[in-house]
Amino acid sequence: MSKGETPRERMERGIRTVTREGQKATLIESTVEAVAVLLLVNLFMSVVPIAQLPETVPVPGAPTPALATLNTAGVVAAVAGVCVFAMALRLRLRRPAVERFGEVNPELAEALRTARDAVRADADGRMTARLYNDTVKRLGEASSLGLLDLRRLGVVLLVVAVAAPASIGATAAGFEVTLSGGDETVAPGQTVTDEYEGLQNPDSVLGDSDDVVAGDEAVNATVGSEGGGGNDSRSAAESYDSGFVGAGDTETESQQAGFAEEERLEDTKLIREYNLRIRQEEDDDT
Amino acid sequence: MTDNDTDVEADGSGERVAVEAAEDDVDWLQAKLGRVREEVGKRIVGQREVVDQLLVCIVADGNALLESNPGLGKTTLVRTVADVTDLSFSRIQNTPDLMPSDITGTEIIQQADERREFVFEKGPIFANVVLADEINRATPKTQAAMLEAMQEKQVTAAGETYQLPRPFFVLATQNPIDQGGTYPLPEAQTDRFLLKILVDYPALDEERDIVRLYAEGREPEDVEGILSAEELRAVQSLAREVPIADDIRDKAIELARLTRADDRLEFGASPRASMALVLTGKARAFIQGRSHVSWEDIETMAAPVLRHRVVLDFRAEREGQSPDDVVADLVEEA
Repeated sequence: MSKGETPRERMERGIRTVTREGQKATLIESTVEAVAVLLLVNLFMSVVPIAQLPETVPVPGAPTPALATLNTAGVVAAVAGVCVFAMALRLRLRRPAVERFGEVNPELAEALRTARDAVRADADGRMTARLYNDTVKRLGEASSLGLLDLRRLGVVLLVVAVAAPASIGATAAGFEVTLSGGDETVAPGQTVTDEYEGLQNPDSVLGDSDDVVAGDEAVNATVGSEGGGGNDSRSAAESYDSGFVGAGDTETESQQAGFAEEERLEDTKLIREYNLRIRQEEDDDT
Repeated sequence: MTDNDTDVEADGSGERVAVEAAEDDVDWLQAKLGRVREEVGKRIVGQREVVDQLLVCIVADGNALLESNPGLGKTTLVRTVADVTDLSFSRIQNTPDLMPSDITGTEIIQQADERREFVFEKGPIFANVVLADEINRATPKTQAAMLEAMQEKQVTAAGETYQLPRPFFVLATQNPIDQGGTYPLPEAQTDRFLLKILVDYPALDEERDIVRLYAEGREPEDVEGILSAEELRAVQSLAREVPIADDIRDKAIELARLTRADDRLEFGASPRASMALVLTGKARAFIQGRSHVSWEDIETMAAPVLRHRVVLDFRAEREGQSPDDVVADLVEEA
């Protein structure tokens, strides 16, 4: 009790406290429910991809290349979570905190509502002052724990506890159930998608290492170059492979150093990412 | 009682002291009301609900219409309440030949010092507690005179207005049987009674106690005057200050309004009933030691406030329903 505080001021403080407790409880419950929905939607979208939706969505103006695209399932889950959070918050806040506090402390409900209305009406009579003092005293003995629906919260937390590892596991393992009914046979652990899904084990991409048969003839090579943009109608791959890398008189068979258009385009992203990392490391070293 | 209107200091501490003093007074007065109930209980066996409703009526500064068969102790009850509250008491036995001036008073010629002058001789209505026995036996003209005095708290005779003493209550009784030669009160006049209290037969144990108390040679216990007229007025003032939540007030008003729309009722209650519901709710809350009105207060007071303000439709009456049944349903609905 602050010195010089009138009963009405004490009551106003009490009502503010009740309101704050109500907001806290609302925030906790809405957040937990939103997280549960987010995880469940993410899990669903990971397990049952929707054919009409792209695997990733581009992020215009992303600060880093790594954030240039976002997983669609994650985006949908996040949107669903935000919607549920906003809805739960709105529904709960629709009922005033004093009423909700009164519901969980029924012996205090009418006194608290009356005191709230009296404060609003600027009432300051003898009986009103008595009501303020009495209500503030009883508020000190009341509990706001009941504002949380513990049973509901427990169930939702259980859902979160189950959905969180399942959702993360499904995303990491890339486990999917196709709804397309296509004739592709998918082996366990293998996906039907060609889209890039992050860094992979290089051995699985490049295959087992093998000894290269080295030649024993030393050849002087001359490297020439020619500006692009000519009338040459050959593709870049062809020109790079065969035309402009000369080796004196000896015709040298070039080995694969570029890429073939028809071959595993998804690997370009992987290579690009490796390059970016190598550059990053070099930059860090310098 | 201490003076509650002490000066308020700028820092608020003076206000706090004043509030604490006022709270002590409130507690003290509420404790006194509890003692009033105990004292009435010395003479009146059972009838707790009737005693409580009568106290509510007094605290709410209203008038009550008591209805019961003869011999149920209405007069003893009212007299006891008057004794306990230390108020002046008068009784008017209504008969068809009773004239308005027999109640309000009349001008008589008085001789003093060789002079004759008209002097107003106050009638029995000039008392704090007036028991108007069998009010429905008086003629409409006499009833009107009494009810006007009851409403206005003043009497006008020969062009002069005389204020009735405060506090002032009329506790009227009427007998539901033996209606021959009676003049039932019109609805407009019954509306002026804050409550209509039904006095029912006592239970077997209570009746046994009544017989022991009044018919076996022992003198009934004397009751002590607990509450002075000044204290009663302070109680009435405080009871009016009891705060009520907006939703409870709205529900009380809605309850009164529902009586106007119900098919079982030919006539519903007036806005005076809405006021009466709130007022009696406040009075009951104060007597119960609370500083706010509860919905339970309104629920409890609904029947005594509304039963004489509504008129049953003949179909509902034919089906054996009473105004109390309809009011109970409407309380559930509100």
